[in-house]
Amino acid sequence: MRRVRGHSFAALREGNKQAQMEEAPRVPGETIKAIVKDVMYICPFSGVVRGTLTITDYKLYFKSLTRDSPFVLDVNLGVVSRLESIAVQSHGDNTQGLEIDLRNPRFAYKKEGQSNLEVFEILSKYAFPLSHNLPLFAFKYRETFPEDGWKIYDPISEYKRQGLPNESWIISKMNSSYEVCETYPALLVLPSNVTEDELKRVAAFRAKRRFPVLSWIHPESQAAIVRSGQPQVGPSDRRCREDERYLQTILDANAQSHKLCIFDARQSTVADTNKAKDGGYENESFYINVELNFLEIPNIHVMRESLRKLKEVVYPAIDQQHWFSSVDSTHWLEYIRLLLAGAVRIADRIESGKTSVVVHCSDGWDRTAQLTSLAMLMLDAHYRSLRGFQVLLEKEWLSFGHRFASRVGHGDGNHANSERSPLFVQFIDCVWQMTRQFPSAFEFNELFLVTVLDHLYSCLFGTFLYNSEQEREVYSKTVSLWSYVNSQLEEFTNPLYVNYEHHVLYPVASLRHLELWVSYYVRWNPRMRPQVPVHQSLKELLVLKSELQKRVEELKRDAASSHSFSSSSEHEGMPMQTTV
Amino acid sequence: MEFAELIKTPRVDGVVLHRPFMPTVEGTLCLTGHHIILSSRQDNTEELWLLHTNIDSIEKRFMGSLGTIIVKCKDLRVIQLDIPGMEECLNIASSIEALSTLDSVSLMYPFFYRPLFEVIEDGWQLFMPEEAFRDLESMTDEWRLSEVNKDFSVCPSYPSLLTVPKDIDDDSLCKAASFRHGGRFPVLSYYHKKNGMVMMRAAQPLTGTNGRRCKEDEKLINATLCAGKRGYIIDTRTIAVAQQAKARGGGFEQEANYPQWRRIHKAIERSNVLQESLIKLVEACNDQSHSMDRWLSKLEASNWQSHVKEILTTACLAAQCIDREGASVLVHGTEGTDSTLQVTSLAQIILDPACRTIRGFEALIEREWLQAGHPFQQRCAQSAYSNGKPRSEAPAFLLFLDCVWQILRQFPCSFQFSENFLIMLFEHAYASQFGTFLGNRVAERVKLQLSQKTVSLWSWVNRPQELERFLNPLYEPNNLVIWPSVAPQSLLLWEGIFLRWNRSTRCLDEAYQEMVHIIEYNKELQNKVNSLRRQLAQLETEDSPLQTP
Repeated sequence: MRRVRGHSFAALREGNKQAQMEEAPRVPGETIKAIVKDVMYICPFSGVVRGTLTITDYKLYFKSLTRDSPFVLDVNLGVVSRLESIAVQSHGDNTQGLEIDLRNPRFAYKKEGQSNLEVFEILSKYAFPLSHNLPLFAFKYRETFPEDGWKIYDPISEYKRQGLPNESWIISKMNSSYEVCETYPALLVLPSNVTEDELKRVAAFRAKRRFPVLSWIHPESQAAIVRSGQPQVGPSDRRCREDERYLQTILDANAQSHKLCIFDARQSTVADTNKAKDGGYENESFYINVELNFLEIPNIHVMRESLRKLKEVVYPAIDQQHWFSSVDSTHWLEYIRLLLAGAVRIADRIESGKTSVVVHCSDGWDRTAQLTSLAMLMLDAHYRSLRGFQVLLEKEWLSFGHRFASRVGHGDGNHANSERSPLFVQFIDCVWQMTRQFPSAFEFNELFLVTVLDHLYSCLFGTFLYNSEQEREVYSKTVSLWSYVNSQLEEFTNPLYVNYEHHVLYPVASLRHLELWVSYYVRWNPRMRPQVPVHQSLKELLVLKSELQKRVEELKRDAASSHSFSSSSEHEGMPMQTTV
Repeated sequence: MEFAELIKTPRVDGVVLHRPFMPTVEGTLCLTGHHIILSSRQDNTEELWLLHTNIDSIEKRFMGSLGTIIVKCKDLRVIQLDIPGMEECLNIASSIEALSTLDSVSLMYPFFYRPLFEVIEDGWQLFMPEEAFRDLESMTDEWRLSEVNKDFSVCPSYPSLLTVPKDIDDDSLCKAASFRHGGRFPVLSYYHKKNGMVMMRAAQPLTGTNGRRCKEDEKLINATLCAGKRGYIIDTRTIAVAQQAKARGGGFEQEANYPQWRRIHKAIERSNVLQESLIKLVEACNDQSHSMDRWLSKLEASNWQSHVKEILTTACLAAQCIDREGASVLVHGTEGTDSTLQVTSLAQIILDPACRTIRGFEALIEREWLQAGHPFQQRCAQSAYSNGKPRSEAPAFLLFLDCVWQILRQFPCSFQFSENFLIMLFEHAYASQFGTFLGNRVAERVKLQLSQKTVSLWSWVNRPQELERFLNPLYEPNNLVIWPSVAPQSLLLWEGIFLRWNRSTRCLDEAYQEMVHIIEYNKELQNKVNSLRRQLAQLETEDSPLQTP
């Protein structure tokens, strides 16, 4: 039973309600590709289960033969990272095993009655459609929602909300055909007096042509968060006058401070190594009034390894004796701390120091996105609302070219690809840590964060597909995750939300105050006890509250109208009825 | 003795107080017989009122003529006082040291404290054994209230009234008492209404190396079994520890002599191990070093969470035997005053919804800790910052509260009280103006005349205006047995106690306030709906004669 519960998060939640039905439930546009009878599922927690396996172009659906309360395994194929055919000795000769490795910390091990290579092929075809020249399922998904999530982010109105353009910053269309920088969005906020020619030289000097652009501006002090790729100074300490002048212009745009602060997310030793490979960092003697800080955050490969270790710790069996030290040995929380601490430094520079900051790492699309978006979340209450958070993701992550397709590996069978890394998961984990420290500051709840992560992998929605805005021609062909979310906002609303409009949140970035996100990473463990759904009851309270409010209004109206009917005065009765 | 003799410098001006997450305060420091007081003489600045008994240890430092005293409290708070003048500082420090380590109970603050509120319901009279027995009588007639320990001679650590099987006479009780450590013969701890099974508690049997037995003891516990049913003896020690105890005259129930009982050994640690664990844990929590890596490993190395887990597991086992197996249970460790009480009281929280209410929880603490003879005075003499030689200090009660907190966290709607209630109990167990936690056993409390000379904690807590702070807004009575998860990923560090002084709670408090607000508002609206509905009904009845002319 508990396992079934776990699935409610795996795919669209409604899917689960139909679990009792005979056939596998399907979402609009989903077609069944194979039904295999007499399959054994070897559950790591409760042993062998016999049943029927259905494979569609979106999911793998296993249902046991037991009549009452059947065991159901419902996994969308997007979370499969590896399929392996293995021989199993202990269950007779004529059997073949199938090993499925999920990106989510869950692991299913399946084995069939008859040798059936075909099943393996069908599975691999739909789990890794791109490796088989097939489209991702998002392009077949036909659900319609009352809200159109693709409209959530409009760069012009978002920048307008920030008070842009102003005298120092303009909204530029220089990149409208993605010529200056192909991984940047079409609309960019740039210093107002930079010529196209200068800009192109700056772009040529920056990694992947990712020149410094504005992400966020403080409404009062005009201190700005600017992001970019690393400068390509190389081993000979190459200079670029235009780049130096460009940063000077950014500094000048903020009258409150005579300094510009650069946060290089990398470890300083790594930044030095990069210099040898034609990358590098700003030399403080060439850039006047610029202060360079390294945040010492390791790279994507370290993070991938850390999460891999974490999966081993939490799945399938947990070492009771060494739980804390094994979590410790993954360093996962330590990296969460580094990120939060870095973002706090950035936010503090902006808020207290009134100083503009430039954030970059190597290419400026991984750690940079993590840091700028976390800092913006701390500084700007708008991003802590449900729709505001969607805008933040659309802006800092999607439009600025975090390479979702490469980092997640949607529909791609090459599980060992070293481009993969859970940077976005790590970011959402940081957000979760913040929601724990500030339980009323965020409009969204934990389910929202889990849902976002589930659909990072699911390939049901077009939102997280592709690597950049230029590549992402999904708007008319797929459904946005936000269409789904915003059509049922009450599911994802935090009942404790209080809009602290002008509060800057500084989370405590100390390991003692960070906690493993057990309800995400360990949710498949049957020993995770089903917690009393407090959020459910709080939600019900909120619904009750609005219903009661409505009824009060109705009754008031009724009372008023019947009052007008009767001429007799009955006012005496009223005030005494206040107590029950 | 006069307190004045110990106070060499009663007053120093220009003292600066540093507290975590609060602005520093400069003011006048005063020492009284029971308090350190700092007053700033400015409006709105909070003053420090610290009980000497709350002080665990102090450290002195000097920088020229400026002295600094670091005061480490039993509630785990650390504050710093900058005192101008070396001599003043030394005097203050030595006075604090002397006043915080007074041995005589009758000099404690509760004997001097006069409440500023009117005592409406005297806490000392609230939870009498007679009353608990009346409740029991309404469910079963198989038990009686024995006065065998009327003058505390049969068992000095038991109360004067004890609930025992009806068929066992006082003579047999005396014989059974002589066979149990400290005279703690098996007595009733809990009666499970649902199936009539019981939980008893005792101290270890004194079998010694040559396997002594005692027919009366056997008869006593067998009297609680239904015909043909087996019971469980839960020994909170490992079999190895229990074996070793034989050499010192203790031991465990031999199968041959107790054929109707199955014995299960668990591994709840003894007092000195727990005390060390607490010290290590608090050290890790307060580690200010920058690297701070290996935090989780340090947390694990303190073993605190595994003690929590072991105690909870044992309590679940006891509850399972009673509720699921339909068997009666006898719980004991060595002395029956620490781990035994942790297990019996937690099992009741799991099984009995009444224990999850405020009154019920207070009654549980009275019954299973205070009257059952947990030596609070000894156990809470020092806390995590003690640097003296450990005597019999142990955080047994704190561990119990931690376990309750874990269950509360897993079942946030099933408890009438909130975390604040547990924190308050922790504070008062270690330092208090109330007499409730003074003394080590009922006999001592009677001798000290606590009920006449001091105020009970319950007299204060149960006043509606105080109670409000401890209520859980999410509470909805849940009549079920609640089974907590003891998997390591389900148990958390109790931040409210251990990280309380190194975090700012503002945002958490705000969220809590919002929750309270939502629930209050809901109630308000419900009342409004009711009153409007009544008004409407009334209007309709008044209108009807008009409509039928």
